[in-house]
Amino acid sequence: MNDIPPKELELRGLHVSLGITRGPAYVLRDEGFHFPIHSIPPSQVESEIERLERAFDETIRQIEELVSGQATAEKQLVDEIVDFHLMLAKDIPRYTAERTKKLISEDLMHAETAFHKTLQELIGLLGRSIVSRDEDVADIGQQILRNLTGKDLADFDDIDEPVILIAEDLSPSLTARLPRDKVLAFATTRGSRTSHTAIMARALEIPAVVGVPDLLNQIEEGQQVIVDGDRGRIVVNPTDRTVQWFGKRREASERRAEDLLRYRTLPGETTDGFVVGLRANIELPEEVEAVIAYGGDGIGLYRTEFLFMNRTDLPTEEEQFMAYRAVAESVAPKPVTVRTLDIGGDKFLTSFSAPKEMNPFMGWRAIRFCLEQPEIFGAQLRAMLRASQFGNLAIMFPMISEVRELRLALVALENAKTDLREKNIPFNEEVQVGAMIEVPSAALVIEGLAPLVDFFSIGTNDLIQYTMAADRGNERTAYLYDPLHPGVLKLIKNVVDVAHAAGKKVSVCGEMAAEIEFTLLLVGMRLDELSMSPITIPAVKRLIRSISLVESVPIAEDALSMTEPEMIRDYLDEKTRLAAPWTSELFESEEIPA
Amino acid sequence: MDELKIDLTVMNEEGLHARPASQLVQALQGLECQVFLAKVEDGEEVDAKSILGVMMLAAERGTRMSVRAKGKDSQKAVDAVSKILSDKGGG
Repeated sequence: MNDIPPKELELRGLHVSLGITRGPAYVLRDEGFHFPIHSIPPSQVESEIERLERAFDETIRQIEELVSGQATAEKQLVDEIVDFHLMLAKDIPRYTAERTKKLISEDLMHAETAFHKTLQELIGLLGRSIVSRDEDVADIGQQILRNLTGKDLADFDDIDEPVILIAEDLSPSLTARLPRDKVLAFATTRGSRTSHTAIMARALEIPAVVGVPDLLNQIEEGQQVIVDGDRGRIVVNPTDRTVQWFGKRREASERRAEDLLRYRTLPGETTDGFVVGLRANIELPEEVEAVIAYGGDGIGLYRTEFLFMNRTDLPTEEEQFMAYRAVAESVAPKPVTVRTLDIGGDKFLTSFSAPKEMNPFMGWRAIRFCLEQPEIFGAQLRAMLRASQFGNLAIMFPMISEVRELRLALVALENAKTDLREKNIPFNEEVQVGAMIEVPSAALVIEGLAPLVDFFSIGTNDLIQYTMAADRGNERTAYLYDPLHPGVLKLIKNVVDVAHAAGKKVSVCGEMAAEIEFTLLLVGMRLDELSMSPITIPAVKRLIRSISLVESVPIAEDALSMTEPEMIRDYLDEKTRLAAPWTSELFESEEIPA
Repeated sequence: MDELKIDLTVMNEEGLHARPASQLVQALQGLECQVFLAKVEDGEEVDAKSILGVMMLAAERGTRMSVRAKGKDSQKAVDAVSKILSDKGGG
């Protein structure tokens, strides 16, 4: 019966990175484990079984260590749980070892693949019962798996041919260790347009579809998958006909992308001569190539967090200096705005164990963290200042909430300058400094902030979530996360108007800048610059070149007078299609022929 | 060899969930006998000294259970099981 080819299956999600591609599925399960499906050579059976037994023993030993180590007030309760876990660690092999070994020796499975299978079967047996705590079994099972694989997360060293990466979600630390040349596309269960997976996919210029419900239960390792990042769908086990149909669509999509490249060398200028700076957001120095390829007017946001991640120590001032300098030099004479460390929230430092917080996005992150870590902050500021000698580099502070906080950040910058002067280390004395506006309170006190800085950059991703009090990654609250909410638009408008009155420029560096449905509005609200993923620059530029400032200003005024996001959205879509008919093809629906 | 067999009702508030199950397994550890538990309705026995075995029973409050102990300490085992199964408290 196994000869019947598996049925074609179409799944829907959010398109977060353009392009269409096809390849075999590489599935990450259980928070990043990967279970190889290719057979082991028979000569390896014995060592795989030994590995399994070592992992069983190691897990018991690790839990036994916990038993002796407890001496707190909650001792009794903790001990009870540890005892329970110890029993499980001793009992799980009793129910799984025999079958796992059989899978290894007869089916030639890898030990982790075989154990994962029998563990799932065991959990399935327990799952029928409402009184059993199968999460404890899963927990201990995962501990055994970790001991078996010898690592917490997949390290991708078993990818041979390019694959489609399928996962629940991709954490920053996981994406950081991806082999770039071996991943064709992403598809994930969780995520949104602004989640880390989406940002990474656009940075790597590979197609991605996120938010596909129940994805991991509908796909198996090695199955053929098409990822359609243009329409937000994936097809598992496509028929030959479907493969051909997508091949044609892919050609059309690539032709469209090539058309857009013709705009590369042209400025982002409206028909009546108003120039909007179109800059790029990057995370890695390697992305500079794409900035230049897509005709960016420099870098509006260089995120520095990646320098600090996936390592156990902190990057030195020298190391940071080299990285910032490399980016500044490679885009010079175009400008680059480097943002100081924005950790906390969904990012983390492996080299620094921050305390767990109930509400990290409202907690100790970004500038709040840096102001309390003068050594980390000072080293970064000195590195940035030194790099300002090489190219056109500006410094920007993230997540400013109030005037006092910005003053403290500027004091830290002055201290860094003093340090360098004392050591006769050169830097650009005229270096420009900006503040990111992501917190609603900051957007409402621009009068107080404007005299202290040279420019502002509005981080719309966070500004929207803080204004709406809605988590962008939570599917239950995502409906509230809307860039077109009048509350959000009024804050942006206030920043622009007050900053302009004080003679300061304002840019938008959130994902909102990349969406052509918002371009007309942002131009009409008089934003000076838009900063986005490099790949999205050509489409936004093409649109700007087909509209005028004279028509955009009243359209923005009309939009701002409306009270509901849906009204604003419909109004802008209509005006955008009217001004630039070519945009409508990006919205039309296309069904896979049956 | 001593073999004892009695029927009991699960009195624990939330049934034979993780906590009483682990207490049960712990109480039986070290006793020189084999102990089997089954739901009276299906008679399918599990090893009462195995945490996963007891959990797989999924015995809710009010379930009729049969206990069978075989060996030197079988009286002690049956006493321990009946004490834990009749403990109503949530601890």
